[in-house]
Amino acid sequence: MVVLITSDDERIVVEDDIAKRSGLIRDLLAAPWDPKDGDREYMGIELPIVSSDVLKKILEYCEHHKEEPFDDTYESEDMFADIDEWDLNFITADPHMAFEIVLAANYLEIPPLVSLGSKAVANMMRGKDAEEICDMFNIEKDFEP
Amino acid sequence: MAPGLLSLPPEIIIEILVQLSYLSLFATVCTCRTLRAIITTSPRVQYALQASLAAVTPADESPTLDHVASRLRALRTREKNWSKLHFTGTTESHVGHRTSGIYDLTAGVYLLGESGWSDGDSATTTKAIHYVRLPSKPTPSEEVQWKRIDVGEEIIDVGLNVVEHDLIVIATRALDTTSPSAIHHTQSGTPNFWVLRLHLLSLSTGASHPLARQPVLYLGRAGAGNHRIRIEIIGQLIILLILHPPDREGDEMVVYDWFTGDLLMRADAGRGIYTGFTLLTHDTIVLPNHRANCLDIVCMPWLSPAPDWTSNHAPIEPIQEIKPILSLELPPLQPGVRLVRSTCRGEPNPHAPRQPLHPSSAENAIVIFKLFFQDRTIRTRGPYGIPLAGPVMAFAFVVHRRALCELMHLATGREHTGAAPDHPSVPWSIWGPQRTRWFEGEDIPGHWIATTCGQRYVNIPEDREPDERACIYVSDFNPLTVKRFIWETEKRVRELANRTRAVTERNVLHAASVWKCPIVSLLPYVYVASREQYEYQSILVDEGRVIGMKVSD
Repeated sequence: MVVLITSDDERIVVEDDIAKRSGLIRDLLAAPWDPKDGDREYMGIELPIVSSDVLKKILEYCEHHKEEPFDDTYESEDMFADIDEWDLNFITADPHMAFEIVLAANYLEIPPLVSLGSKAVANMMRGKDAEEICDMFNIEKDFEP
Repeated sequence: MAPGLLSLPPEIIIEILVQLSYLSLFATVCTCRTLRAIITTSPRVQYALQASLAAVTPADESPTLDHVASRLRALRTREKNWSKLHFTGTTESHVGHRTSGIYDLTAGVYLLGESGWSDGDSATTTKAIHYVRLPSKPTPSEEVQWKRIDVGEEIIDVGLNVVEHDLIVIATRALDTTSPSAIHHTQSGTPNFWVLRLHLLSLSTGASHPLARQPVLYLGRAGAGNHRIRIEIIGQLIILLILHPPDREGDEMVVYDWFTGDLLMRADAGRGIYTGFTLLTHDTIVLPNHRANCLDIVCMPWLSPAPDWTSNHAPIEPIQEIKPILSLELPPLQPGVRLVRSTCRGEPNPHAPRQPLHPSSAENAIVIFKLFFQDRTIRTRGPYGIPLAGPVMAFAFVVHRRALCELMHLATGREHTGAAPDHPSVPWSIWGPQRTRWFEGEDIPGHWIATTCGQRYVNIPEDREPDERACIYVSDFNPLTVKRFIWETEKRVRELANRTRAVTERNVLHAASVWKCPIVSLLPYVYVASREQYEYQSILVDEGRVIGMKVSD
């Protein structure tokens, strides 16, 4: 078991297999550990830029995909063309979370989820004008055509 | 408060931006300097933008940055050369055989039939196939190698699937020597029974195709007269429209699995109702209906990719009719006038395998219909006093495949599985004028229909004196090209060249001898005429080449 500590100080206990979908956590767990530094499980892994909401969501994804081989490549297929149904429902369930998921998945090094999230964010931008894109993504508009 | 897009690392921002269409990219460019800088400087984003504008399928394996940059350059150069009709080089090749009417041009392979023995009547027959892989750079003519394929039988038609399977399908007919009545009729001079076959060969070797369990498929017997077969190949399936002589057995639409040799469908296509078809989606075809003067859209559930034919033999359905799910009416004809012949083409085919670089997207491609009308009430006397029908008048129109699909979805709903007994029929005045552009006279495709690829249509006036030269015209129906052209001319960004023009005004055809009312059509396009004039009798086109034909005696 691994303990993950979120930015809002929640301690989330996860099976190794699930946590290891994240390249970051995989690397941290593979690093040598000196027992003198304390109990590893108790110490946990701090994820200072991931909130508990987002982490729970990401772990849901990791659990669903835990049997699959690791895919460390970013694919760029047609938008949503080859995405399986579960992934599509997962990422479109809460469109506004998609953005935070990409951010966190990038930090946690889960390439397929970054790719999925990127598509979802791109999908949110479709049909929007410059003003709407700025509002949606908290961008300060500093350009007039 | 949502986190800012800009808090993401640039590679993720690029990952998001390459998913966007040109419209969203244009909106995003106007947001802030950082995003603007990423969009205008990232080769990957620029490549996605260019591909979206040109309606081509981007090459999709994750390429290195160098590759993206060179692809972007290749795509930009190609689009620019098309827009100015600037040819980068010419390759000449001598065709060493007498050609017959059979030809094809797809995936860089150009194929011409060899005219063969005559069976007594004046019709030209094809005894062999010659083909060439077209060079993409100027090449000395002696290096252009023609190959010959001969299956020992008279060839009726040919289909190609070059990229995916290196497959050539050759439909042939041979005299049926096993039938006693055939021998009887042969003695009297008119062979009466033919055996129709389909030969499945590997294009590069000319030998039987290794994936075909049965390299020769038996299509059936047929009576005397001229047989024509139209062939389209989608992956593992071959769709055939078999046209028998008008006074004989009815026409048929047949689908084979060429891996196993299984017959998947055999449907009655009436008599002389259809003479050609083209694919609309992977499981839908469109056919001009001569009897009803309309375009029939027919769903072929056999073509759906789902079942694994190899493990499970599909049952052969009893003969069904071709049942349209939608009919799009053509302009109403004068009494007595009939649609007597039609050809159509859209390139590339839906679900065609990816060609090496930048194939035009099949969904956005245009389809050209060339229609021949004849007034059956006019009777003139030909040689020996034989009564002849009136002259045949040819017209052509262009429509986007996407527009036909949208009409299909509008009229039938998304689920278009079953054919209703009374399928909807949409009058011409409702669907046609906005979505089509009609041509007549020297603007229509001449002898060859392979004058379109993607959204472009090329043409050279064919009705000229033998030594008279003419310009090549390219019409681009990509709506973005049209918009951009108009914007650039208004803003004077582009130097106004008289070789190029956007055609946005309505076109009215007044052929009162054919139609009840004039045909109005509005689909806009940009056309460009070549700077020089050429002596080619006719031309063909593919993604990056124009093929000009010079005919010698």
